[in-house]
Amino acid sequence: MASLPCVLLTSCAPGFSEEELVAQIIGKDECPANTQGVKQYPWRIDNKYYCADVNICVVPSTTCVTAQIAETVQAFIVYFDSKTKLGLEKVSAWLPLLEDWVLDVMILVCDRVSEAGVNRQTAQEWCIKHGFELVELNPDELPDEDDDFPESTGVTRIVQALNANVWSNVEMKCEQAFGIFSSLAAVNHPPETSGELQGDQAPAASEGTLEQCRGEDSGNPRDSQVDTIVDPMLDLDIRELASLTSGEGDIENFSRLFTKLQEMKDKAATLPHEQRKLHAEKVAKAFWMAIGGDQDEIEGLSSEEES
Amino acid sequence: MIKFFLIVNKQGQTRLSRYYERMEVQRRTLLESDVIKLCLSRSKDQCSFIEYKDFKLVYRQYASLFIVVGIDESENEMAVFELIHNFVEVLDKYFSRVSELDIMFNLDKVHIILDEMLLNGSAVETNKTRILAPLLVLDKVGDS
Repeated sequence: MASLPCVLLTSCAPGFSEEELVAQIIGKDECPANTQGVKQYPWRIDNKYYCADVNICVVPSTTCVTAQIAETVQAFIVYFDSKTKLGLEKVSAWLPLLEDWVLDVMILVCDRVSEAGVNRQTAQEWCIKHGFELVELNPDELPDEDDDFPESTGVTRIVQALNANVWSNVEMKCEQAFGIFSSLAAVNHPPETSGELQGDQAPAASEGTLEQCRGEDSGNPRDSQVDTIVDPMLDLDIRELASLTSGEGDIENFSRLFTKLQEMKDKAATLPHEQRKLHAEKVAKAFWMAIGGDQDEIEGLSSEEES
Repeated sequence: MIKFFLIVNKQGQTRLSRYYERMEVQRRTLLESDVIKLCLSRSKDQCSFIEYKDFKLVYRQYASLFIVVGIDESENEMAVFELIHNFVEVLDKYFSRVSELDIMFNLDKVHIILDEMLLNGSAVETNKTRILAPLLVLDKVGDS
C-alpha cells in the first residue's frame, strides 16, 4: 500500500468539499477513506491500455504533506476560489513543493472562471506559466456539439488527464512488446526457410550477386564467390536481431537490440568502402527477408548485377 | 517547407515531435515550450496562424491535444491547416476514435503514419488508404 502512487488533491477555497470531487472522480457515491492523518481514497485506473492502482490523497494544506506523500505523489489537483481576485494566491503556497516534485499531471480546478474574480485570461496565463491545465467543473460555454473532437470538461476531463499518464506501477494490458518491434516477431523464420532460400536461389545467387563481403578471408572480395545467400556471420547477426525483436520483448532484449545494431554498424565501419556498401546491402536484404518481405521485390536490386 | 510537427497536450507536454531540419535537442526543448505557450494562450476564435521568429506556426486543437506545425514562407498555411486535419483523420480511422492514450502508447505507429504523409518537410501522401497500407501490412505480419 505504501508505495502506491498518489494523486494529491487539495483545495484553496474554504467550504469546498474535496470528498465530493473524489467521489466523482472515482465514480462511486461513497468511498471508504483510509484515515491516518491524511484521507486516502484508493482508486483503480483501468483503461484500454493499462491498469494502475493509485491513492487519491486529500491534503488540506502544505503543512500536512507527509514524507510518504511527498515520495509517492505523481499528480496534483488543486481547487481554487475563482470568485475572489486573490483566489490564485493561495495556490502559490504549493508552487515551491511542486518545483521539487516535477509532476506530469497538474490540474487547476475551479467551478467556473469569473469576471469579478479570476477571469479566464488570468487563470490561463497562470496555468501556462506553471505548467497546469485549467479545468472548470461547471463551465459557462459548453463544448460545440458539432465538433468531431469535442473538448471534455469538468470531472470527465480530470479523469481523462489522470488516465493520460504513465503511473509508476502501471500494468500494461496486452503485451504490446514495444509496438512495431512485435511485428518483427514474425522474423523468427524457422532455420529451414533460409535453407530453402539457399537451395532455390543459390544458382542465381552464385552468379555474383552475393559475394563474400567480409574482407578477412580474401584480399579482393570480387575474386571470391560464395554460394550462400547470406554471409554466415551476417546471417547469425540477423538471426539474433530477429530473436531480439520477437515475443517476450523485455527491456533487456530491447536494449540488446540496439547494442547489436551498433555492433553491426561498427563492424561495417571497419570495412573498405566498396565492401561496406556490399555489407549494407546484405544487411538490408537480409532484414527485408527476415521481416517477411517478398524475395521478388529485392531481386535484381543488387549493385553487383549492374556492374 | 515544413520545419517541425508537434503534438502537445493542454499541460504543455510534448506527445510527439518530428523535426525536418536539424536542431539541437536543447534548442528543441526551448522551442517547444515557447511554441506551446504561444498556442495555449490563444483563445478559440483567434487565427490558427501565428508569425513566430523567422517562420510561421499553424496549429489546430483537437479535444485536449494541440497539433502545431512550423513552416517557412514557401508553404501555404491553408494547405498545412488541412494537412493537420488529414493527419488527425488518418489517426482517427486507424485507432477508431483516437485519444491521447492511443498516441502515447502507439507512438511508433503514429510516427509511421506521419512518415507516410510527410517526407523531408513536404507532404507526400494524402490518401488515407494509401497512408495506412504499410502499417496494416505490419500489423498483419505481427498478428500471424
